Amino acid sequence: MSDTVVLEVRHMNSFYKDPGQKRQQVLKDVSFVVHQGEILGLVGESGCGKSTLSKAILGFVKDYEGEIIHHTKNPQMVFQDPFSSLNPGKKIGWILEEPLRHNSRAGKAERRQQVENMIERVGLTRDYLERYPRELSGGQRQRVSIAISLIQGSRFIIADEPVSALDVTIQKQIMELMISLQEEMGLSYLFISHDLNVIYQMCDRVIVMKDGQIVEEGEIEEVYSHPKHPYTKQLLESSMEW
Amino acid sequence: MLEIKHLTISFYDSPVPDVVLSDFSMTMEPGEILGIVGESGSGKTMMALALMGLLKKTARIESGEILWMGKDLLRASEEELRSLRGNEISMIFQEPMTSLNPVLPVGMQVEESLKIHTDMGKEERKKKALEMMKAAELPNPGELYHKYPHQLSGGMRQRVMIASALVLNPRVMIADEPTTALDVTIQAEILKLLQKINREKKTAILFISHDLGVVRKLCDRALVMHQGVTVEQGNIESLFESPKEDYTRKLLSSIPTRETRLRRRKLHE
Repeated sequence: MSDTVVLEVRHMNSFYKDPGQKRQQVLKDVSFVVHQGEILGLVGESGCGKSTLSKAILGFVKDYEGEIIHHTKNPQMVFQDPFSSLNPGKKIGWILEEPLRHNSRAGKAERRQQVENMIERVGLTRDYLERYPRELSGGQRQRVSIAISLIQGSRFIIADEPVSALDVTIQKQIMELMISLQEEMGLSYLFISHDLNVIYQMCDRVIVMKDGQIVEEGEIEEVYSHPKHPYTKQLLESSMEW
Repeated sequence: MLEIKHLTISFYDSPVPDVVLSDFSMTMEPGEILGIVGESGSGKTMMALALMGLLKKTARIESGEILWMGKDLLRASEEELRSLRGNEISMIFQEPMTSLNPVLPVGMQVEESLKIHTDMGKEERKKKALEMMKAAELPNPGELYHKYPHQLSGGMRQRVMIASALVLNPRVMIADEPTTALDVTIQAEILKLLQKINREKKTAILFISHDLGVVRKLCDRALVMHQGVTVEQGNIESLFESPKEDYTRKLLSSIPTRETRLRRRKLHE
């Protein structure tokens, strides 16, 4: 792990308000960094604020205090359900080329070349470019959304439960793909999951969140073998027991 | 007690019928916890829905028998099936919110089967419902009785479902991914509850899940399904310790565990 930092979050407090309701604090004094080349896991149960945090990092949360400092260009996000983010009326090739059409100076032939390279990098063949999202399985769609996140040269990916909706055999393939892409391209991930075993398999370090706060942070082996916070212990025991 | 013989089910949603369950056979003994494991599309839920007589209209049972105490359910009248559901076999689902009525207090929903299947009076029904809610380890049943589903957490809603599934003391409870939507700490509590119910009330549980880790710890026996076909079955130890089929091995090796890591890179390299 290098000392170069791709993301810094400092003393982040975020708030949420439903119409007619009181303003509520979601994130409470959250601070952490993501290093270049690392896979940082973020684990917690529903309502702990992990998804709010990922949205805040990408600027989708307006009501906040604190600092979010990006040291990379164009961080991207991969979601749990890729189907909802893929345009159903367009072929995969068109979808994959779309960000380039808007943000790149590359000509048509060059864009096509980038699209073809990228689809192969995520383990699909070029003929997938001619298919529609509905013709792909869940795992294949997740490969496509990983390709979309990387096509503009982004090196920092926030992955929010990227394997949670997949069957175990497919889950493993996507995890392996993400790890090999990380190694080949030197990517950094903030990998969000509720599944402690998936986090253990994938990550170098882990942050444990509860009720909007970070309760524990450390290297993966250390946290899993010597959890310090009672909540981390409870989480690890519950998932061990079953 | 329950026997399924050579059951084949097809869907007629498209011009070419889609076989979702093929030549499926199994038996279930009183009081056991039988696991049905498989990935999506394996046919595990279709089998359960067929058992409950809840298949959608475009599904057709091509062949086979479902024998309950020797009686073929596929040839039973709607009335016989209705009496069987609830009295003998009940079912809980992954998302209790979709099976609970959002505008009815949960207590009323727990006692609904009593209203349909017994001639118990109002007071007696309420007493029984509160008793079941207590057995499902719901806190303050008296207060909770009047609450609506949306006022309850996911774990509590699943406990309400369990209470209403058990209110007629069925011999079998089918549990289709009952903890999949729950947080890990809540999942552990619900599984413990199912185990307790099985032990104390001798309710047999047909436990359908994609989660092999959970099946291993909860079930006595299990069946592995893949694309509508039974790949392998046996008692839990032999299935997990010495799987015979490639697919079972692949499934087992895909479970994320804390024994090995996919990420091999060392920090501070």
